[in-house]
Amino acid sequence: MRKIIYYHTQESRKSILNNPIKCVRDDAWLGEAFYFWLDLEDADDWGIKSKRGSNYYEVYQSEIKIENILDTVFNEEHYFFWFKQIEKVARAIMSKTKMKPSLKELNDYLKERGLWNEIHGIKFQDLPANSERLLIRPIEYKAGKIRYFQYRKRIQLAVYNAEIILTFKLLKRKKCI
Amino acid sequence: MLDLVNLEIKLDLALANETSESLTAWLHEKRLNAFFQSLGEGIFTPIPDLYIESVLSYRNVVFETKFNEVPCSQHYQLAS
Repeated sequence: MRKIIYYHTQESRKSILNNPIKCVRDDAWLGEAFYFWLDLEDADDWGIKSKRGSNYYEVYQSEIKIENILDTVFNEEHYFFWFKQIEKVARAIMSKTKMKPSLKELNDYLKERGLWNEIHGIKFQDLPANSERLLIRPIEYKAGKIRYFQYRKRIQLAVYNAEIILTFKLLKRKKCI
Repeated sequence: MLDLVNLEIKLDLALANETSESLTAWLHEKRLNAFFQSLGEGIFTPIPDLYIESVLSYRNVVFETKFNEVPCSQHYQLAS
């Protein structure tokens, strides 16, 4: 069984969590799921930036079984499959309803129709918003403008099937800076 | 191990069975539910006629038709 350590960030509460909290927000990129970070520094950044309610955030560590994860970050076949299917569903909805689906609607469609029940989670990426950790200088243009090149991926895992979360324990509690 | 070929077949079949009506109805229901959820938890209840009458007959209510008719700045103070 292949398993990898991921990190789950939450606002610090009165008691320590025994399980991760499912994200049900409409703007959650990959729909209702348990969201984890691959890199600890991204988990910290997220706590500092978005989990400031009590002025403290917590990072939990989990071992996650990855056999049935759709890996759109490192697996080329998985990425092109995912990209093709997302656009296929969006195009079908647009052509038959004359309306563009939202991200949530698209995710809901796949979930409610039970089309991807075999997929226990999706690994995906964007770029870090924080440029302070970069070890290379930004590109400088003549007009004085600078631009950072984010050479590191910010990788997340959206878990749909909680059974693949094998362990869950508090790693740290820190003050939001 | 994920069987991507099989997953794609499942999705293609589902989309092929969708009609304009079925998808439009599904999308409308989604958006309607999202709207009601945005209002928060609770139940709708009709406003009693008595309440509306009491508001309209409240003697100190001033309806502005011309702004220079508003008697004094006290009303603005009350409103704020």
